[in-house]
Amino acid sequence: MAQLNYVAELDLEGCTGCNWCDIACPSGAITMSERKAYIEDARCIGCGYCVDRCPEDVMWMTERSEPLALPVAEPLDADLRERALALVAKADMSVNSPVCPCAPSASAVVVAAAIVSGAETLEDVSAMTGMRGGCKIYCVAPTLRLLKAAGHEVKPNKGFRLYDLSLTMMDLEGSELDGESGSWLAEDLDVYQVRKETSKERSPE
Amino acid sequence: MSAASVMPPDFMPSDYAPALRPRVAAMPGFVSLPVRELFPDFPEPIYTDDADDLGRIRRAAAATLRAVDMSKIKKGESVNICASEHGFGIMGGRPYVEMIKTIRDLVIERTGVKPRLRLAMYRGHKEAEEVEQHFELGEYFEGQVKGLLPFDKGVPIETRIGTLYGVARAYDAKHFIHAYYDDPREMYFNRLLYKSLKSFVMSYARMETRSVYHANFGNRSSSILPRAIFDSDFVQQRYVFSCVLRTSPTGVIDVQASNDLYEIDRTITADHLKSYGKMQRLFGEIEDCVAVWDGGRWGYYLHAGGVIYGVLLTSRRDSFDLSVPSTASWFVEPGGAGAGEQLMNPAIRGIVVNQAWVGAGIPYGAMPIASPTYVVGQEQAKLWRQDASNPVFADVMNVEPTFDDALEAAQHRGATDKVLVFDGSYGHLTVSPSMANFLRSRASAVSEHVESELLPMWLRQRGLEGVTP
Repeated sequence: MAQLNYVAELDLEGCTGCNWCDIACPSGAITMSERKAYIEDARCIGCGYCVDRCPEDVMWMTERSEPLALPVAEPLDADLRERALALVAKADMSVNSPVCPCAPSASAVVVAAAIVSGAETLEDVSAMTGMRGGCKIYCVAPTLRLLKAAGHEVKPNKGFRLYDLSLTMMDLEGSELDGESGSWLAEDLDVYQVRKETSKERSPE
Repeated sequence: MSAASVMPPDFMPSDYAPALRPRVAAMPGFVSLPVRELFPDFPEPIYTDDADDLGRIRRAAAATLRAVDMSKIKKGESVNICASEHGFGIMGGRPYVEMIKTIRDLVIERTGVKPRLRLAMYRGHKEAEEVEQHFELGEYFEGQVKGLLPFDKGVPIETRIGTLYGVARAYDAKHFIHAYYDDPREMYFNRLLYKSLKSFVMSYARMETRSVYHANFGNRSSSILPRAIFDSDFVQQRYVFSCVLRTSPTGVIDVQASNDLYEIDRTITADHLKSYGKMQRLFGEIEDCVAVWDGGRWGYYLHAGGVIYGVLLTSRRDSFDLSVPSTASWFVEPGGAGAGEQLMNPAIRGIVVNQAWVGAGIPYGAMPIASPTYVVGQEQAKLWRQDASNPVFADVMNVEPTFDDALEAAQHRGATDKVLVFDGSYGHLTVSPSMANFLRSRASAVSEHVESELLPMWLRQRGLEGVTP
């Protein structure tokens, strides 16, 4: 998703300030003020999750008058790609991880590029890359791992919006499970060549 | 030309779906192919989408529950029955609902405690309410029904591989009962490795835990996670027993309850390797076809002969062969197919979307590029255009005014008259006559190959050599 075609809107009069849209928003586009929700258009990735979550049914999606270009997307310039690849390697991740299948351009390298470009939180990465536009689930742990590798602290914010979890099979290398029959850990570590960073970046699919 | 002789189950209307359309099976040009005609060794079902059959579900559930130890539940204590979303999509959801109701009734009868129901849903905040209302569960459970989502408040669970996070509401009682179904569903992800425990890392788990399971492990080693959670002190202190709706491609065949979930899992795995193994390898034989979506859930998860569409999509590789590192994974094997390529099957020459839930959190990636996709009706197409899970889908989909137009276009461009309809059917496949003939011609050889070579290997790879399917 190199550009965004939809944006959330709401009827302020009907907004009760319940805060659920703010908690639901994956890109941090919603802020609350005097018990009313306000949407920052430039951060809205058009996922529609606030509309689904709104208990008052006073939110809706509308087509943008002009598509919004995402700040970080392929093709990356050479310097940014190099710095992003270094972060992926530091996080001990596969350079070919899709990270977010909902946003085809939000690969591990693009997510890393957003982080080296200034993203400090999961919400920042989402707003910069369109990541978390769909399920909002499966890209979370790989992204948290990249954020932590870049030195950012992952802390729960706004109640239960986020928990710090980015475990990977690499973390279990050398544990009692590594080599335990039936765990398939040793086999997967070998196959995916993540015991040592030997994988090479593939062309974008 | 007449329509198929067997209609698929009705399904629940939903906010996440387009308006209901006429069912494909009722249209001319399709036949019903019984799965037992393909594989006569498949078991007879006890439920065949007939309301009268629900009594058999209740009797089977009651019989197996009588052997379960419920002594952990003391009078005055709280108990959750934890149910998972996809059970409500199996044969219209009624069999699963009947099993859940029977669990409640038996727990009350034997312990005096009235259990509460927890509905673990995937993503949409309206899903639980829709299920509760459609199946009138609120009334049955005297208002004690709540949904839970991966974004709800979490609870830390200390496991032998570190802290993982469950959804607090699943565990907000003194005890809980795992009310499950054994549909192998995404066998290309779960590989039938401890599938009966999957709810602990998905349904009852926070989004971060689900992400680790899907994206940070290979799809063999990811089976460590549900076991770690289930084996944890936190879960074991609360867990009482499991009750599972048992299926085969023929339909619901039984209900199995036990305090020992691993015992249930071994039985189910051995059975499924044989029955669903034959179906997935038969789908792997298909060289050209048009796939049709015509149901009330996400396209990936619509059944044909008890097997979901995703299995056809990934059937180029044997999902049960654990020497194959992945059939659908976030990880890329050196020199192997990436996640996007794994979800392309050139045998699917076209896809016709008559009706299904729009993406809504399920990405189809490059699938509509690899297989030209035809959406019936502008109203449905509009929903796809707004779907943030599939930004590419709207760019490449073809929109046709009627199902006939869509099917004709797909068949013409795909140069095939073989059609396989994913319409929620168990017991039979809704297919074109040419597809019926093709499947009949291949079934016997597939069966023999599975019995003589694949099944022994699949069992051996899982340490189940002694378990007889």
